[in-house]
Amino acid sequence: MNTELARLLTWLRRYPFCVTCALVSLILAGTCWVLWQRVGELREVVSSRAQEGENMLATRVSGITLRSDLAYVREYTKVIEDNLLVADNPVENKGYFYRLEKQARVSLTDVQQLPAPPADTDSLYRRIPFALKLTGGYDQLAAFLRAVETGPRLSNVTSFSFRRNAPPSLLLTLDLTVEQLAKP
Amino acid sequence: MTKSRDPLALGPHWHVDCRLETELPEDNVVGKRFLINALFGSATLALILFTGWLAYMNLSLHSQIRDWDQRITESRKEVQEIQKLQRDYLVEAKKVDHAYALMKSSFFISGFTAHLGQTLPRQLNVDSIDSSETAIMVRGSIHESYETASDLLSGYRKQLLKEPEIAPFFDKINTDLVRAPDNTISFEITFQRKPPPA
Repeated sequence: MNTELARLLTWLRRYPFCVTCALVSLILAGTCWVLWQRVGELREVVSSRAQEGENMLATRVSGITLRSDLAYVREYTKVIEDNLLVADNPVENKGYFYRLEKQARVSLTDVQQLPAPPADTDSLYRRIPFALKLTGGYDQLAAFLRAVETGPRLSNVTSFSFRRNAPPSLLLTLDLTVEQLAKP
Repeated sequence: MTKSRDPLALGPHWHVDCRLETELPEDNVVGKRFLINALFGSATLALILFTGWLAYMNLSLHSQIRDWDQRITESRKEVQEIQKLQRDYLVEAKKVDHAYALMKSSFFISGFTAHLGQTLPRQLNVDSIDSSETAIMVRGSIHESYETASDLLSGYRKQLLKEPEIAPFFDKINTDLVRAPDNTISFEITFQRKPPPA
């Protein structure tokens, strides 16, 4: 054993540079292992931060269009909500059709607010149906229909019936059922 | 054999070799010690370079993390504001969607009647237009012979089927002619509505 040790010591004394290199390499290998592990962890952190950062960047970029879209939608919902009917105010609700009657120059002979179907509890709006009876020329009745469909109050014509009046009258009678959007 | 041709014959400069080879220093061009040192030195140098590269990577990644953190911190307030806008947008869009779902209509009746008024052949006299959930019926009379009325009505049907303002909204457009005992001819055009989209 002592002989082996003596031989090793001789060898070590004979190659001091190699011994130094081996010791330095050993320390460096340990350092490399630690650094390699650390680099792996840091890469994951960078990857998650980059992902978060890019998402934020995309959000910031979308913010420009989002602002304009939101302004547009708010304007649109304001128009909808400003023109919502109140179910308990039939006088005002019918008055809308009488205003259109004047514009279209037709004769609105009857307007009835029909019972509204019950709205869902979580519903934002409800529909109120109306039954209308009008008399006038074809063009005037068509103008009234157009005014109802494109007017500020959101309306949906559910049924209609044009009938020619008995001769010698040249006029037509229009029976119309319309639903309009109302507050719940 | 002559003396000069004998391979075993001793030359004039012959002498005894007294060198102690094991105790002599190496006289190779590239020595064994040099090769071992070079090998160890190269390996150590490579490790030094690799360690340096790893240390550089470490610093670089730390720098990138700091950079991203700084950007994220700077953007956070604006992003929170945008996220609030997104929530507001969803609320507003829900209102519009809900209103649309309640009031959606396949097409404008006023447009339909106006189009009918413009395109209907003058020989067809409309007496009534009735609508139901599934169809719109146009009824009237024609003061022509049955054959002429038939040609007129089928021609008008073909025209309606090509109209981009009419055809896409209906599954079928059917026509019918009826001759009464008093020879008056009445027609019916039925526009079969498409079922509303789910």
